[in-house]
Amino acid sequence: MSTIVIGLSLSFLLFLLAAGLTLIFGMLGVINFAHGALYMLGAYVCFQIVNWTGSFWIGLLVAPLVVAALGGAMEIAALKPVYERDHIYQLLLTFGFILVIEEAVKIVWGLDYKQVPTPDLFSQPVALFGSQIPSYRLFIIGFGATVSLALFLLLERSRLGMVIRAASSDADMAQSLGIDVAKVRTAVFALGAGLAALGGVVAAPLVPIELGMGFSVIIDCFVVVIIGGLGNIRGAILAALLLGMARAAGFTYAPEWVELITFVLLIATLMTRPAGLFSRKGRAA
Amino acid sequence: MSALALENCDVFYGKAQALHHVSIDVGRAEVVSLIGRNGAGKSTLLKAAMGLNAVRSGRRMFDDRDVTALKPHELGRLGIAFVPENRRIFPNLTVEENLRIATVMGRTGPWTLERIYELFPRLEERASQGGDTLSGGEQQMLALSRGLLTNPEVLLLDEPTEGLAPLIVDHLVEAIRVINAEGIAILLVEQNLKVPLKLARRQFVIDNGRVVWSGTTAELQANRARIETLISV
Ligand SMILES: Nc1ncnc2c1ncn2[C@@H]1O[C@H](COP(=O)(O)OP(=O)(O)O)[C@@H](O)[C@H]1O
Ligand SMILES: [Mg+2]
Repeated sequence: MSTIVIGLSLSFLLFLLAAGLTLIFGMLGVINFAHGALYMLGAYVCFQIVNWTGSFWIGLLVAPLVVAALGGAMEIAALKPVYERDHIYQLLLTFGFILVIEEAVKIVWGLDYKQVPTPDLFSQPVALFGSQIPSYRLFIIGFGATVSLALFLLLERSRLGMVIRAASSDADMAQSLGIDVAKVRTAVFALGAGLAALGGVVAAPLVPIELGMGFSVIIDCFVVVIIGGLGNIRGAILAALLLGMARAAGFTYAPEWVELITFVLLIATLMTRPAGLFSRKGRAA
Repeated sequence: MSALALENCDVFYGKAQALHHVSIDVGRAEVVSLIGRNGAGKSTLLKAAMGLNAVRSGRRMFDDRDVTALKPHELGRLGIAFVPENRRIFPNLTVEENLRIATVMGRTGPWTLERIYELFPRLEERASQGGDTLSGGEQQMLALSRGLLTNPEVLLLDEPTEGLAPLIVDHLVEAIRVINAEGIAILLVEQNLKVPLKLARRQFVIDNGRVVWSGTTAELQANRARIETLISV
Protein backbone atom coordinates (compact mmCIF):
# COMPACT_ATOMS: atom_id res chain seq x y z
CA MET A 1 0.00 0.00 0.00
CA SER A 2 2.64 2.49 0.94
CA THR A 3 4.43 1.67 -2.30
CA ILE A 4 1.35 2.76 -4.23
CA VAL A 5 0.99 5.94 -2.20
CA ILE A 6 4.65 6.82 -2.59
CA GLY A 7 4.48 5.94 -6.29
CA LEU A 8 1.42 8.11 -6.90
CA SER A 9 2.80 11.06 -4.95
CA LEU A 10 6.06 10.82 -6.88
CA SER A 11 4.08 10.59 -10.12
CA PHE A 12 2.17 13.80 -9.46
CA LEU A 13 5.32 15.61 -8.41
CA LEU A 14 6.98 14.53 -11.65
CA PHE A 15 3.92 15.57 -13.60
CA LEU A 16 3.89 19.11 -12.20
CA LEU A 17 7.44 19.51 -13.45
CA ALA A 18 7.04 17.64 -16.70
CA ALA A 19 3.86 19.54 -17.57
CA GLY A 20 5.70 22.86 -17.38
CA LEU A 21 8.63 21.53 -19.35
CA THR A 22 6.48 20.05 -22.09
CA LEU A 23 4.27 23.17 -22.33
CA ILE A 24 7.32 25.36 -22.75
CA PHE A 25 8.73 23.00 -25.34
CA GLY A 26 5.44 22.93 -27.24
CA MET A 27 5.25 26.71 -27.37
CA LEU A 28 8.88 27.80 -27.65
CA GLY A 29 10.40 24.73 -29.26
CA VAL A 30 13.07 24.84 -26.58
CA ILE A 31 13.99 22.45 -23.81
CA ASN A 32 14.18 24.60 -20.71
CA PHE A 33 17.30 23.36 -18.96
CA ALA A 34 16.63 25.79 -16.12
CA HIS A 35 13.47 23.93 -15.13
CA GLY A 36 15.21 22.16 -12.25
CA ALA A 37 16.63 25.47 -11.05
CA LEU A 38 13.13 26.97 -11.01
CA TYR A 39 11.94 23.97 -9.01
CA MET A 40 14.75 24.57 -6.51
CA LEU A 41 13.97 28.27 -6.40
CA GLY A 42 10.32 27.46 -5.64
CA ALA A 43 11.43 25.44 -2.62
CA TYR A 44 13.74 28.24 -1.37
CA VAL A 45 11.09 30.92 -1.80
CA CYS A 46 8.65 28.71 0.07
CA PHE A 47 11.22 28.26 2.84
CA GLN A 48 11.57 32.03 3.10
CA ILE A 49 7.83 32.60 3.22
CA VAL A 50 7.38 29.91 5.86
CA ASN A 51 10.15 31.61 7.82
CA TRP A 52 8.39 34.95 7.66
CA THR A 53 4.80 33.89 8.06
CA GLY A 54 5.00 30.48 9.70
CA SER A 55 2.46 29.18 7.18
CA PHE A 56 3.23 26.53 4.60
CA TRP A 57 -0.07 27.31 2.87
CA ILE A 58 0.90 30.91 2.18
CA GLY A 59 4.15 29.54 0.75
CA LEU A 60 2.22 27.11 -1.44
CA LEU A 61 0.17 29.96 -2.84
CA VAL A 62 2.76 32.72 -3.13
CA ALA A 63 6.04 30.99 -4.06
CA PRO A 64 4.77 29.70 -7.44
CA LEU A 65 3.40 33.15 -8.26
CA VAL A 66 6.74 34.77 -7.42
CA VAL A 67 8.66 32.30 -9.57
CA ALA A 68 6.10 32.58 -12.39
CA ALA A 69 6.56 36.36 -12.41
CA LEU A 70 10.32 35.87 -12.47
CA GLY A 71 9.94 33.35 -15.32
CA GLY A 72 7.90 35.85 -17.31
CA ALA A 73 10.54 38.51 -16.74
CA MET A 74 13.32 36.13 -17.82
CA GLU A 75 11.45 35.31 -21.00
CA ILE A 76 10.91 38.97 -21.88
CA ALA A 77 14.39 40.15 -20.99
CA ALA A 78 16.53 37.28 -22.23
CA LEU A 79 14.72 34.77 -24.45
CA LYS A 80 12.67 37.18 -26.53
CA PRO A 81 15.69 38.82 -28.16
CA VAL A 82 17.04 35.47 -29.41
CA TYR A 83 13.93 33.81 -30.87
CA GLU A 84 14.95 34.87 -34.36
CA ARG A 85 18.26 33.07 -33.95
CA ASP A 86 19.00 29.38 -34.07
CA HIS A 87 17.52 27.23 -31.27
CA ILE A 88 20.98 26.59 -29.88
CA TYR A 89 21.10 30.18 -28.55
CA GLN A 90 17.90 29.66 -26.60
CA LEU A 91 19.18 26.38 -25.20
CA LEU A 92 22.42 28.04 -24.12
CA LEU A 93 20.45 30.83 -22.55
CA THR A 94 18.41 28.43 -20.42
CA PHE A 95 21.74 26.96 -19.29
CA GLY A 96 22.75 30.48 -18.35
CA PHE A 97 19.59 30.83 -16.28
CA ILE A 98 20.74 27.88 -14.14
CA LEU A 99 24.01 29.61 -13.30
CA VAL A 100 22.32 32.91 -12.50
CA ILE A 101 19.66 31.29 -10.31
CA GLU A 102 22.20 29.16 -8.46
CA GLU A 103 24.47 32.14 -7.78
CA ALA A 104 21.53 34.22 -6.61
CA VAL A 105 20.37 31.44 -4.27
CA LYS A 106 23.90 31.17 -2.84
CA ILE A 107 24.01 34.90 -2.19
CA VAL A 108 20.59 35.06 -0.57
CA TRP A 109 20.40 31.79 1.35
CA GLY A 110 23.99 30.55 1.54
CA LEU A 111 25.09 26.95 1.21
CA ASP A 112 23.45 25.42 4.30
CA TYR A 113 20.65 22.92 3.91
CA LYS A 114 17.25 24.43 4.64
CA GLN A 115 14.13 22.69 5.83
CA VAL A 116 10.43 23.31 5.60
CA PRO A 117 8.47 21.42 8.27
CA THR A 118 5.53 19.29 7.19
CA PRO A 119 2.37 21.35 7.68
CA ASP A 120 0.62 20.48 10.98
CA LEU A 121 -2.50 19.33 9.23
CA PHE A 122 -0.59 16.50 7.55
CA SER A 123 2.12 15.73 10.09
CA GLN A 124 0.53 12.56 11.49
CA PRO A 125 0.50 9.26 9.62
CA VAL A 126 -2.85 7.69 8.93
CA ALA A 127 -3.78 4.02 8.88
CA LEU A 128 -4.90 2.84 5.48
CA PHE A 129 -5.58 -0.80 4.54
CA GLY A 130 -3.54 -1.91 7.51
CA SER A 131 -0.42 0.19 6.86
CA GLN A 132 0.73 3.49 8.30
CA ILE A 133 0.79 6.07 5.50
CA PRO A 134 2.38 9.53 5.85
CA SER A 135 -0.64 11.78 5.37
CA TYR A 136 1.43 14.46 3.59
CA ARG A 137 1.90 11.93 0.78
CA LEU A 138 -1.87 11.64 0.51
CA PHE A 139 -2.08 15.43 0.36
CA ILE A 140 0.36 15.45 -2.56
CA ILE A 141 -1.77 12.93 -4.42
CA GLY A 142 -4.99 14.89 -3.89
CA PHE A 143 -3.39 18.24 -4.61
CA GLY A 144 -1.48 16.91 -7.62
CA ALA A 145 -4.64 15.37 -9.06
CA THR A 146 -6.50 18.65 -8.58
CA VAL A 147 -3.79 20.73 -10.23
CA SER A 148 -3.54 18.23 -13.10
CA LEU A 149 -7.26 18.40 -13.67
CA ALA A 150 -7.23 22.20 -13.52
CA LEU A 151 -4.37 22.29 -15.99
CA PHE A 152 -6.18 19.91 -18.31
CA LEU A 153 -9.34 22.04 -18.18
CA LEU A 154 -7.31 25.19 -18.75
CA LEU A 155 -5.68 23.76 -21.86
CA GLU A 156 -8.58 21.84 -23.35
CA ARG A 157 -11.62 23.87 -22.34
CA SER A 158 -10.64 27.50 -21.83
CA ARG A 159 -10.11 30.22 -24.37
CA LEU A 160 -6.55 30.78 -23.19
CA GLY A 161 -5.89 27.07 -23.62
CA MET A 162 -7.24 27.19 -27.16
CA VAL A 163 -4.95 30.13 -27.93
CA ILE A 164 -1.95 28.32 -26.43
CA ARG A 165 -2.66 25.19 -28.47
CA ALA A 166 -3.11 27.17 -31.68
CA ALA A 167 -0.01 29.29 -31.14
CA SER A 168 2.03 26.18 -30.26
CA SER A 169 1.09 24.39 -33.44
CA ASP A 170 1.37 27.30 -35.92
CA ALA A 171 2.57 30.61 -34.52
CA ASP A 172 2.42 32.53 -37.82
CA MET A 173 -1.13 31.43 -38.52
CA ALA A 174 -2.17 32.38 -34.98
CA GLN A 175 -0.57 35.80 -35.42
CA SER A 176 -2.41 36.50 -38.62
CA LEU A 177 -5.62 35.89 -36.66
CA GLY A 178 -4.72 38.82 -34.43
CA ILE A 179 -3.16 36.82 -31.61
CA ASP A 180 -0.13 38.40 -30.00
CA VAL A 181 2.00 35.27 -29.92
CA ALA A 182 4.84 37.07 -28.14
CA LYS A 183 2.54 37.56 -25.15
CA VAL A 184 1.39 33.95 -25.31
CA ARG A 185 5.03 32.83 -25.18
CA THR A 186 5.65 34.92 -22.10
CA ALA A 187 2.51 33.57 -20.44
CA VAL A 188 3.44 29.96 -21.20
CA PHE A 189 6.97 30.40 -19.89
CA ALA A 190 5.58 31.98 -16.72
CA LEU A 191 3.05 29.16 -16.34
CA GLY A 192 5.76 26.52 -16.79
CA ALA A 193 8.03 28.27 -14.30
CA GLY A 194 5.14 28.50 -11.82
CA LEU A 195 4.44 24.77 -12.18
CA ALA A 196 8.12 23.96 -11.60
CA ALA A 197 8.06 26.10 -8.47
CA LEU A 198 4.84 24.45 -7.34
CA GLY A 199 6.66 21.12 -7.61
CA GLY A 200 9.48 22.55 -5.49
CA VAL A 201 7.06 23.79 -2.84
CA VAL A 202 5.24 20.47 -2.65
CA ALA A 203 8.56 18.63 -2.36
CA ALA A 204 9.98 21.06 0.21
CA PRO A 205 8.71 19.25 3.35
CA LEU A 206 10.01 15.92 2.00
CA VAL A 207 13.58 16.69 1.05
CA PRO A 208 16.45 18.85 2.26
CA ILE A 209 16.42 22.14 0.38
CA GLU A 210 19.80 22.65 -1.26
CA LEU A 211 21.38 23.83 -4.48
CA GLY A 212 21.54 20.39 -6.09
CA MET A 213 17.95 19.41 -5.42
CA GLY A 214 16.78 20.40 -8.89
CA PHE A 215 19.35 18.31 -10.62
CA SER A 216 18.28 14.86 -9.44
CA VAL A 217 14.63 15.56 -10.16
CA ILE A 218 15.10 17.14 -13.53
CA ILE A 219 16.65 14.06 -15.05
CA ASP A 220 13.54 12.02 -14.22
CA CYS A 221 11.48 14.88 -15.48
CA PHE A 222 13.24 14.87 -18.87
CA VAL A 223 12.65 11.13 -19.04
CA VAL A 224 8.93 11.68 -18.39
CA VAL A 225 8.73 14.31 -21.11
CA ILE A 226 10.51 12.10 -23.62
CA ILE A 227 8.47 9.00 -22.79
CA GLY A 228 5.27 11.05 -22.94
CA GLY A 229 6.26 12.68 -26.21
CA LEU A 230 7.74 16.18 -26.43
CA GLY A 231 5.02 18.78 -26.12
CA ASN A 232 2.34 16.19 -25.34
CA ILE A 233 0.66 16.95 -22.02
CA ARG A 234 -1.59 13.87 -21.89
CA GLY A 235 1.44 11.74 -22.63
CA ALA A 236 3.28 13.46 -19.79
CA ILE A 237 0.71 12.47 -17.19
CA LEU A 238 0.70 8.83 -18.28
CA ALA A 239 4.49 8.77 -18.44
CA ALA A 240 4.72 10.36 -14.98
CA LEU A 241 2.44 7.66 -13.58
CA LEU A 242 4.47 4.96 -15.30
CA LEU A 243 7.81 6.26 -14.08
CA GLY A 244 6.60 7.21 -10.59
CA MET A 245 5.06 3.81 -9.96
CA ALA A 246 8.02 1.96 -11.48
CA ARG A 247 10.43 3.88 -9.26
CA ALA A 248 8.38 3.35 -6.11
CA ALA A 249 8.10 -0.37 -6.85
CA GLY A 250 11.82 -0.42 -7.50
CA PHE A 251 12.60 1.25 -4.16
CA THR A 252 10.52 -1.38 -2.36
CA TYR A 253 11.59 -4.52 -4.15
CA ALA A 254 14.93 -3.84 -5.83
CA PRO A 255 16.49 -0.60 -4.57
CA GLU A 256 19.80 -1.11 -6.39
CA TRP A 257 18.00 -1.31 -9.74
CA VAL A 258 15.98 1.90 -9.50
CA GLU A 259 18.15 4.12 -11.67
CA LEU A 260 18.39 1.36 -14.21
CA ILE A 261 14.58 1.02 -14.41
CA THR A 262 14.32 4.68 -15.39
CA PHE A 263 16.72 4.33 -18.24
CA VAL A 264 15.40 1.00 -19.43
CA LEU A 265 11.99 2.66 -19.78
CA LEU A 266 13.58 5.55 -21.63
CA ILE A 267 15.58 3.41 -24.01
CA ALA A 268 12.68 1.02 -24.65
CA THR A 269 10.51 4.01 -25.58
CA LEU A 270 13.07 5.56 -27.85
CA MET A 271 13.63 2.27 -29.64
CA THR A 272 9.98 1.39 -30.16
CA ARG A 273 8.16 4.74 -30.36
CA PRO A 274 10.64 7.61 -30.65
CA ALA A 275 7.86 10.24 -30.82
CA GLY A 276 6.77 9.14 -27.33
CA LEU A 277 4.93 6.16 -25.96
CA PHE A 278 1.61 8.00 -26.07
CA SER A 279 2.06 10.05 -29.24
CA ARG A 280 -0.87 10.33 -31.56
CA LYS A 281 -0.27 9.38 -35.15
CA GLY A 282 1.33 12.17 -37.16
CA ARG A 283 1.89 14.41 -34.20
CA ALA A 284 5.33 14.00 -32.77
CA ALA A 285 5.29 17.28 -30.89
CA MET B 1 -8.88 54.60 -52.40
CA SER B 2 -7.08 51.35 -51.95
CA ALA B 3 -7.79 48.94 -49.13
CA LEU B 4 -4.39 47.30 -49.30
CA ALA B 5 -1.27 48.07 -51.29
CA LEU B 6 2.36 47.11 -51.52
CA GLU B 7 4.52 49.85 -53.02
CA ASN B 8 7.94 49.02 -54.51
CA CYS B 9 8.51 46.19 -52.09
CA ASP B 10 11.69 44.13 -51.84
CA VAL B 11 11.50 40.89 -49.89
CA PHE B 12 14.38 38.56 -49.07
CA TYR B 13 14.83 35.04 -47.74
CA GLY B 14 18.25 35.31 -46.15
CA LYS B 15 20.42 36.72 -48.94
CA ALA B 16 18.14 35.58 -51.76
CA GLN B 17 15.81 38.26 -53.07
CA ALA B 18 12.33 36.82 -53.65
CA LEU B 19 10.46 40.00 -54.61
CA HIS B 20 11.88 42.91 -56.61
CA HIS B 21 10.20 46.32 -56.41
CA VAL B 22 6.77 44.79 -56.38
CA SER B 23 3.73 47.06 -56.44
CA ILE B 24 0.19 45.80 -56.19
CA ASP B 25 -3.03 47.32 -54.91
CA VAL B 26 -6.53 46.17 -54.05
CA GLY B 27 -9.39 48.66 -53.95
CA ARG B 28 -12.13 48.60 -51.36
CA ALA B 29 -14.52 45.71 -51.98
CA GLU B 30 -12.61 44.85 -55.14
CA VAL B 31 -11.48 41.40 -56.28
CA VAL B 32 -7.96 41.45 -57.69
CA SER B 33 -6.02 38.40 -58.70
CA LEU B 34 -2.34 37.65 -58.71
CA ILE B 35 -1.35 34.98 -61.20
CA GLY B 36 1.97 33.30 -61.75
CA ARG B 37 3.65 29.97 -62.13
CA ASN B 38 4.98 27.86 -59.31
CA GLY B 39 7.84 29.64 -57.52
CA ALA B 40 7.02 33.04 -59.03
CA GLY B 41 6.66 34.68 -55.62
CA LYS B 42 2.88 34.73 -55.08
CA SER B 43 2.86 33.27 -51.59
CA THR B 44 5.84 35.40 -50.67
CA LEU B 45 3.85 38.48 -51.66
CA LEU B 46 0.80 37.46 -49.64
CA LYS B 47 2.97 36.81 -46.59
CA ALA B 48 4.57 40.20 -47.05
CA ALA B 49 1.10 41.75 -47.12
CA MET B 50 0.21 39.92 -43.88
CA GLY B 51 3.47 40.98 -42.22
CA LEU B 52 4.78 37.41 -42.06
CA ASN B 53 7.60 38.34 -44.44
CA ALA B 54 9.53 41.51 -43.70
CA VAL B 55 9.41 44.23 -46.34
CA ARG B 56 13.03 45.34 -46.66
CA SER B 57 12.36 48.43 -48.75
CA GLY B 58 9.10 49.85 -50.00
CA ARG B 59 5.85 50.36 -48.12
CA ARG B 60 2.83 48.38 -47.02
CA MET B 61 -0.35 50.49 -47.02
CA PHE B 62 -3.72 49.79 -45.47
CA ASP B 63 -6.59 52.19 -46.15
CA ASP B 64 -3.94 54.59 -47.46
CA ARG B 65 -2.12 54.49 -44.13
CA ASP B 66 1.52 53.38 -43.90
CA VAL B 67 1.53 50.09 -41.96
CA THR B 68 4.99 48.86 -43.00
CA ALA B 69 6.19 48.63 -39.40
CA LEU B 70 3.21 46.75 -37.98
CA LYS B 71 3.43 43.15 -36.81
CA PRO B 72 1.22 40.38 -38.23
CA HIS B 73 -1.18 40.35 -35.28
CA GLU B 74 -1.60 44.11 -35.54
CA LEU B 75 -2.37 43.81 -39.25
CA GLY B 76 -4.85 41.04 -38.44
CA ARG B 77 -6.55 43.31 -35.94
CA LEU B 78 -6.69 46.11 -38.52
CA GLY B 79 -8.64 43.87 -40.86
CA ILE B 80 -6.33 41.80 -43.05
CA ALA B 81 -7.09 38.07 -43.13
CA PHE B 82 -4.86 35.36 -44.55
CA VAL B 83 -6.11 32.07 -46.01
CA PRO B 84 -2.82 30.35 -46.75
CA GLU B 85 -1.92 27.71 -49.27
CA ASN B 86 -2.02 24.25 -47.64
CA ARG B 87 -4.82 25.71 -45.48
CA ARG B 88 -2.85 25.44 -42.26
CA ILE B 89 -5.75 24.22 -40.15
CA PHE B 90 -4.73 23.83 -36.49
CA PRO B 91 -4.62 20.03 -36.20
CA ASN B 92 -4.86 20.03 -32.41
CA LEU B 93 -8.03 22.14 -32.36
CA THR B 94 -11.52 20.94 -33.21
CA VAL B 95 -13.26 22.30 -36.30
CA GLU B 96 -15.30 24.67 -34.16
CA GLU B 97 -12.22 25.80 -32.22
CA ASN B 98 -10.51 26.49 -35.54
CA LEU B 99 -13.36 28.91 -36.17
CA ARG B 100 -13.63 30.38 -32.69
CA ILE B 101 -9.91 31.12 -32.57
CA ALA B 102 -10.57 33.76 -35.24
CA THR B 103 -12.95 35.60 -32.93
CA VAL B 104 -10.57 35.80 -29.95
CA MET B 105 -9.18 39.17 -31.00
CA GLY B 106 -12.72 40.54 -30.91
CA ARG B 107 -13.33 42.00 -34.37
CA THR B 108 -17.07 41.77 -34.84
CA GLY B 109 -19.16 42.28 -37.96
CA PRO B 110 -21.59 40.51 -40.22
CA TRP B 111 -19.76 37.16 -40.10
CA THR B 112 -20.72 34.96 -37.17
CA LEU B 113 -20.43 31.27 -36.45
CA GLU B 114 -24.11 30.84 -37.33
CA ARG B 115 -23.66 32.42 -40.74
CA ILE B 116 -20.59 30.32 -41.45
CA TYR B 117 -22.57 27.19 -40.66
CA GLU B 118 -25.32 28.42 -42.99
CA LEU B 119 -22.82 28.90 -45.81
CA PHE B 120 -21.00 25.60 -45.15
CA PRO B 121 -23.32 23.16 -43.35
CA ARG B 122 -20.62 20.51 -43.59
CA LEU B 123 -18.55 22.39 -41.04
CA GLU B 124 -21.36 22.30 -38.51
CA GLU B 125 -21.73 18.56 -38.99
CA ARG B 126 -18.05 18.20 -38.20
CA ALA B 127 -17.85 20.86 -35.49
CA SER B 128 -16.48 18.65 -32.74
CA GLN B 129 -14.08 16.65 -34.91
CA GLY B 130 -10.37 17.30 -34.91
CA GLY B 131 -9.16 19.82 -37.47
CA ASP B 132 -6.88 17.17 -38.93
CA THR B 133 -9.73 14.82 -39.87
CA LEU B 134 -11.23 16.88 -42.72
CA SER B 135 -11.07 16.23 -46.45
CA GLY B 136 -9.23 18.69 -48.68
CA GLY B 137 -12.42 20.52 -49.69
CA GLU B 138 -13.64 20.77 -46.10
CA GLN B 139 -10.25 22.05 -45.01
CA GLN B 140 -10.44 24.79 -47.60
CA MET B 141 -13.93 25.76 -46.43
CA LEU B 142 -12.66 25.84 -42.86
CA ALA B 143 -9.62 27.95 -43.73
CA LEU B 144 -11.79 30.41 -45.67
CA SER B 145 -14.35 30.54 -42.85
CA ARG B 146 -11.64 31.10 -40.25
CA GLY B 147 -10.46 34.10 -42.27
CA LEU B 148 -14.00 35.40 -42.63
CA LEU B 149 -14.71 35.21 -38.92
CA THR B 150 -12.06 37.87 -38.35
CA ASN B 151 -14.54 40.09 -40.23
CA PRO B 152 -11.76 41.44 -42.41
CA GLU B 153 -11.66 44.33 -44.83
CA VAL B 154 -9.25 42.45 -47.07
CA LEU B 155 -9.02 38.71 -47.56
CA LEU B 156 -5.81 37.18 -48.92
CA LEU B 157 -6.58 33.86 -50.64
CA ASP B 158 -3.63 31.68 -51.61
CA GLU B 159 -4.61 29.13 -54.28
CA PRO B 160 -7.98 28.35 -52.70
CA THR B 161 -9.04 25.96 -55.47
CA GLU B 162 -5.83 23.97 -55.70
CA GLY B 163 -6.39 20.21 -55.66
CA LEU B 164 -10.17 20.42 -55.33
CA ALA B 165 -12.77 18.57 -57.38
CA PRO B 166 -14.59 20.75 -59.99
CA LEU B 167 -17.89 20.64 -58.11
CA ILE B 168 -16.27 21.91 -54.92
CA VAL B 169 -14.44 24.58 -56.90
CA ASP B 170 -17.80 25.87 -58.17
CA HIS B 171 -19.17 25.92 -54.64
CA LEU B 172 -16.13 27.86 -53.46
CA VAL B 173 -16.34 30.36 -56.34
CA GLU B 174 -19.96 31.01 -55.38
CA ALA B 175 -18.96 31.49 -51.74
CA ILE B 176 -16.24 33.97 -52.73
CA ARG B 177 -18.82 35.95 -54.75
CA VAL B 178 -21.13 36.10 -51.73
CA ILE B 179 -18.29 37.22 -49.50
CA ASN B 180 -17.18 39.93 -51.90
CA ALA B 181 -20.75 41.13 -52.39
CA GLU B 182 -20.74 42.05 -48.70
CA GLY B 183 -17.92 44.48 -49.26
CA ILE B 184 -14.82 42.43 -48.45
CA ALA B 185 -11.89 43.11 -50.78
CA ILE B 186 -10.13 40.01 -52.03
CA LEU B 187 -6.61 39.40 -53.27
CA LEU B 188 -6.85 36.04 -55.03
CA VAL B 189 -3.72 34.07 -55.89
CA GLU B 190 -3.92 31.38 -58.56
CA GLN B 191 -1.59 29.53 -60.92
CA ASN B 192 -4.05 29.54 -63.82
CA LEU B 193 -6.61 31.89 -65.34
CA LYS B 194 -9.77 29.88 -64.78
CA VAL B 195 -11.00 31.23 -61.45
CA PRO B 196 -9.41 34.70 -61.79
CA LEU B 197 -11.35 35.27 -65.03
CA LYS B 198 -14.58 34.41 -63.24
CA LEU B 199 -14.05 36.56 -60.18
CA ALA B 200 -11.55 39.38 -60.57
CA ARG B 201 -11.90 42.86 -62.01
CA ARG B 202 -8.18 43.50 -62.30
CA GLN B 203 -5.26 41.11 -62.76
CA PHE B 204 -1.58 41.11 -61.87
CA VAL B 205 0.89 38.62 -63.34
CA ILE B 206 4.06 37.85 -61.41
CA ASP B 207 7.16 36.01 -62.56
CA ASN B 208 10.59 35.62 -60.97
CA GLY B 209 9.58 37.91 -58.15
CA ARG B 210 8.55 40.79 -60.45
CA VAL B 211 5.15 42.02 -61.54
CA VAL B 212 5.40 41.50 -65.31
CA TRP B 213 1.91 42.47 -66.40
CA SER B 214 -1.17 44.12 -64.95
CA GLY B 215 -4.46 45.21 -66.37
CA THR B 216 -8.21 44.76 -66.34
CA THR B 217 -9.82 41.42 -66.97
CA ALA B 218 -10.92 42.60 -70.43
CA GLU B 219 -7.32 43.54 -71.24
CA LEU B 220 -6.17 40.14 -70.07
CA GLN B 221 -8.69 38.49 -72.39
CA ALA B 222 -7.30 40.54 -75.28
CA ASN B 223 -3.73 39.50 -74.48
CA ARG B 224 -4.54 36.01 -73.38
CA ALA B 225 -1.99 34.16 -75.52
CA ARG B 226 0.89 36.26 -74.19
CA ILE B 227 -0.25 35.95 -70.59
CA GLU B 228 -0.57 32.18 -70.92
CA THR B 229 3.10 31.94 -71.84
CA LEU B 230 4.06 34.06 -68.82
CA ILE B 231 2.40 31.66 -66.42
CA SER B 232 2.86 28.30 -68.14
CA VAL B 233 5.39 25.83 -66.81
N1 LIG C 1 10.81 30.08 -46.53
C1 LIG C 1 11.56 30.23 -47.63
N2 LIG C 1 12.90 30.27 -47.55
C2 LIG C 1 13.65 30.43 -48.65
N3 LIG C 1 13.17 30.55 -49.88
C3 LIG C 1 11.85 30.51 -50.04
C4 LIG C 1 10.96 30.35 -48.93
N4 LIG C 1 9.69 30.35 -49.38
C5 LIG C 1 9.78 30.52 -50.72
N5 LIG C 1 11.06 30.61 -51.13
C6 LIG C 1 11.52 30.83 -52.51
O1 LIG C 1 10.98 32.04 -52.96
C7 LIG C 1 10.52 31.91 -54.30
C8 LIG C 1 9.04 32.25 -54.37
O2 LIG C 1 8.33 31.26 -53.64
P1 LIG C 1 6.75 31.36 -53.42
O3 LIG C 1 6.41 32.74 -53.03
O4 LIG C 1 6.36 30.28 -52.51
O5 LIG C 1 6.21 31.06 -54.89
P2 LIG C 1 4.72 30.77 -55.38
O6 LIG C 1 3.79 30.93 -54.22
O7 LIG C 1 4.49 31.75 -56.47
O8 LIG C 1 4.74 29.37 -55.91
C9 LIG C 1 10.83 30.49 -54.72
O9 LIG C 1 12.04 30.52 -55.42
C10 LIG C 1 10.99 29.75 -53.44
O10 LIG C 1 11.90 28.70 -53.57
MG1 LIG D 1 2.59 29.52 -53.36
